[in-house]
Amino acid sequence: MLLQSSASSYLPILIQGIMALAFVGITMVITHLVGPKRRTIDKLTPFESGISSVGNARSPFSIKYFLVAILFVLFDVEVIFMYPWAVNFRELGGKGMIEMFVFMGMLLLGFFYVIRKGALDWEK
Amino acid sequence: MTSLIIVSVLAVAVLYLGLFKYKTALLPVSVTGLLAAAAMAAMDWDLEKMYFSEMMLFDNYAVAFSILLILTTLLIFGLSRNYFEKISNNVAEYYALMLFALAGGVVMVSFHNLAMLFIGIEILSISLYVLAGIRRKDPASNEASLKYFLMGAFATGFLLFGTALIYGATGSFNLAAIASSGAFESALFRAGVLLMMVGLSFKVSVAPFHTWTPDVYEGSPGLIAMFMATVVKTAGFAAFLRLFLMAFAEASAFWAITVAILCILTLFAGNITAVFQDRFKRLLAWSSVSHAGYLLLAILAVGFSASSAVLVYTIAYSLASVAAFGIMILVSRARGNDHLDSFNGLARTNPFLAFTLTLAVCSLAGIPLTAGFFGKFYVFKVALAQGYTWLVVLAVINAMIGIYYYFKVIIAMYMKENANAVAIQLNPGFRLVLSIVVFLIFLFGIFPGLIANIL
Amino acid sequence: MDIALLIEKVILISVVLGISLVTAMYTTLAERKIAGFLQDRYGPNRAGPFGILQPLADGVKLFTKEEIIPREANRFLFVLGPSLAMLMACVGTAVIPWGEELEIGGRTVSLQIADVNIGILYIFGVVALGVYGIMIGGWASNNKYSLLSAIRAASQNISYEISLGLSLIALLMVTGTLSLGEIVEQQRGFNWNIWYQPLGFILFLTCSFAETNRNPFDLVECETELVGGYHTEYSSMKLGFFLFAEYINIFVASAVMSTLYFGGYNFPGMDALAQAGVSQNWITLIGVGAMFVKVLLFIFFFIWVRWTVPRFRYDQLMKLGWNIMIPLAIANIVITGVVIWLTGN
Repeated sequence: MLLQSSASSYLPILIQGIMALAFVGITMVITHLVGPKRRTIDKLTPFESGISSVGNARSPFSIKYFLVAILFVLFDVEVIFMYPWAVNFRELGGKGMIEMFVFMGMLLLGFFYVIRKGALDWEK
Repeated sequence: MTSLIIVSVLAVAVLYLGLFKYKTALLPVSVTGLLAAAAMAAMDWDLEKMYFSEMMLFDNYAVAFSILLILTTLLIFGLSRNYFEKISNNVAEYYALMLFALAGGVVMVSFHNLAMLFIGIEILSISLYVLAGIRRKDPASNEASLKYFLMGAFATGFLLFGTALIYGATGSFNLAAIASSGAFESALFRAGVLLMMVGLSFKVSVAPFHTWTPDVYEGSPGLIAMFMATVVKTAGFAAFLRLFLMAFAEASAFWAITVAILCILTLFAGNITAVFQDRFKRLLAWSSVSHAGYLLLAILAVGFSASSAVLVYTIAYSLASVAAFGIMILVSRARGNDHLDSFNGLARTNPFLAFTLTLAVCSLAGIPLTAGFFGKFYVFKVALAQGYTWLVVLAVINAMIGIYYYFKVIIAMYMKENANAVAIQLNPGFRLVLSIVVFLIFLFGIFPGLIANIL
Repeated sequence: MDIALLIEKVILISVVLGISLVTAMYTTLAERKIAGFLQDRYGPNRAGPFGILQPLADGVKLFTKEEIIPREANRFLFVLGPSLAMLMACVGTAVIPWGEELEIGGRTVSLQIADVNIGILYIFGVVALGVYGIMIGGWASNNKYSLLSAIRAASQNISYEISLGLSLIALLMVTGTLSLGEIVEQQRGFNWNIWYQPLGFILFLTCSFAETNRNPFDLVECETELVGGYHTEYSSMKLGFFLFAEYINIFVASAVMSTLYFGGYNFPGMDALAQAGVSQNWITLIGVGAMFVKVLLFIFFFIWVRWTVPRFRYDQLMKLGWNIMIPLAIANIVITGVVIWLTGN
């Protein structure tokens, strides 16, 4: 019942990618050629609400973002594990379901721990 | 298998106990759980059960080493009362991480598939990377954590690459299938074996891949260093031996010479450097490198009751290390540092501690009547049976060097005086654990048959 | 793949790309018109009747504006950012089935560019890659607002991607396949997945808003805090690409939602029409029409919400994503699993 895909089924996707790439590339070149070019120093400074810009923008930022990224990696990998299971859910039956629920229980334990520890508390 | 489940669930339970602020329950729950896990592991004796489509095999080898790992962890937990509280507020996490590391160790001694070996090593290592750095404000601890992490990640790369090559050569991750594949002549297989050897050598600090050991041991908190020296080293060697015994034994003609060279390098690097250490923790770190060398001797003798020799050696070594590190923690806490001079006059102020430490270092050095003697004895015996006389001669020379530097601390305790030394207070946990260790070192030193014929 | 099929695919791809671009263009107009309506004002009404030529005028204007690359920007990444955003928006349509098969001169032409067996994963991947354009653009600008916006975008997208993935898992348990073609076929007539997955749909819809950076989750480009967000430093068609990519993403998200939950090209009574002797080509064309009606309704919904619901704060956004969406999505999986298991199928 499962659809079999060979490498050639992906060919249209490749074609679409090439066409999209061509569209993007051509448009970029055209806009580069068509627009006027009158460069001044002020025009080329980074915008900072009208005042002269201070320092470099590439400065350290809140560690929270990093934490979110790490947690994402953890949880997203577990989500990916569930895809094959979900597709074959009916074939795997009750036993497969309980096994995956145990897995999800583990996931939830970790999830609850993270929440409770305040790892995602943005106000702190 | 049940014991592995108990250890894993216990780790999560401890984590949650910490989350809900039942700090006093942490230790009792952990100890009860570990006892249950050890009992469950003992129930698996002689069952030889395969799990998860032959991913894991709980044979007697796995059971014996699991119990050793669990009981060693138990001893370490016995010393941990009020230890982590002084370091940080997140006490439960440290217990949980040690339990997770233990779970990884149990996987490492019971794997029957290269994928499980990798998973076990990673569970163990990742927990340790964190544990090494639990003194967040201490630069040395941070350095230890980072160094261990970078080196460990590097080693994992070797290990994985080796695994991939072996898979390429034999078409399987299964140890039995690899052993019966007959692909031992192919270059792919040989490269794979060497790469895996490099990866595992990193993990058990075999020279020339041992460079991280002293810094990591020194920077980590004492209890964690103790954990690394005992549980981690035991698990690493058990995994090393299990892999070479169950999968690569037939190809031993090819890799034996490499192991022999690694063995000599490790012995000399560990022992000679240890001679020049004046800090006890660093001395123990280098001595742990040298012990890796002795254990490699047993791996050379694959198939000739090597597992039994490794078991005896690791038991003796773990017991002695628990005592040595434990007293090191006490002394450095009471006297500010772990310099050998800090041990001056310990025999007068704390005769029990001095006696225990003497016994421990004697066991580490391999003096008769201690468990360590029989550890070395069996290892040398299997190596001799395999015809490595020259190697054993070199190892004995190294054991002599070992006696020299181990005795430095005994001399400090008994011969040197420290006018303003005061007695160190022991809490009941320490007293109990050290007494047990003393008893066991004597017991196994006098009746080695109790552990020598288990496997 | 023979030449005829290749030509057929190229034509189909051109049509789909064209339609998505035109839809996106007119979505910009619709957005302003609907905003005007909701705020009791006219909206654009100068270029052509009812402002119908406004998007063209905008396009021409964007083309002929000066292209500014700030001094401190990383030039290569600065150009790569919008290009990547646009590219990812354009390839998202590849696996969506726009209709049943057409019979043209004895050839059966499938109205799906590529029916691969991992259609959903493909969409998932393209959506995930979409944020790279924003991140690269925001970082390359070397502007503080842009950097903040880029980080916000990354954080927001990955947070909602988890619940997106989880809500899809419940759907996959119902469908048992990852192929969008098969998923649509299963929903023939009025047997739409929305009846089985109402909660999953709501979660998916919410995540779509977050993934396309639309209000109420448009923290990435909220004018009051970040000036223009990641496109603060952009001008000419590079700015156009960023804005355009967002509208194409809305189009793709609407198409995916119609396909997954609202039966795609299926419409009630299609079997009755077939029995009444209406030719398959007509049914297919009506189906394509039905698909587009659904897509346009979703696009309208996106716009409607934008001008109705106020913006979240960033901590609220994250709290919703992690503390509410993920548990709900997991509950949805559990409920779906138990119900399927109990009903025996």
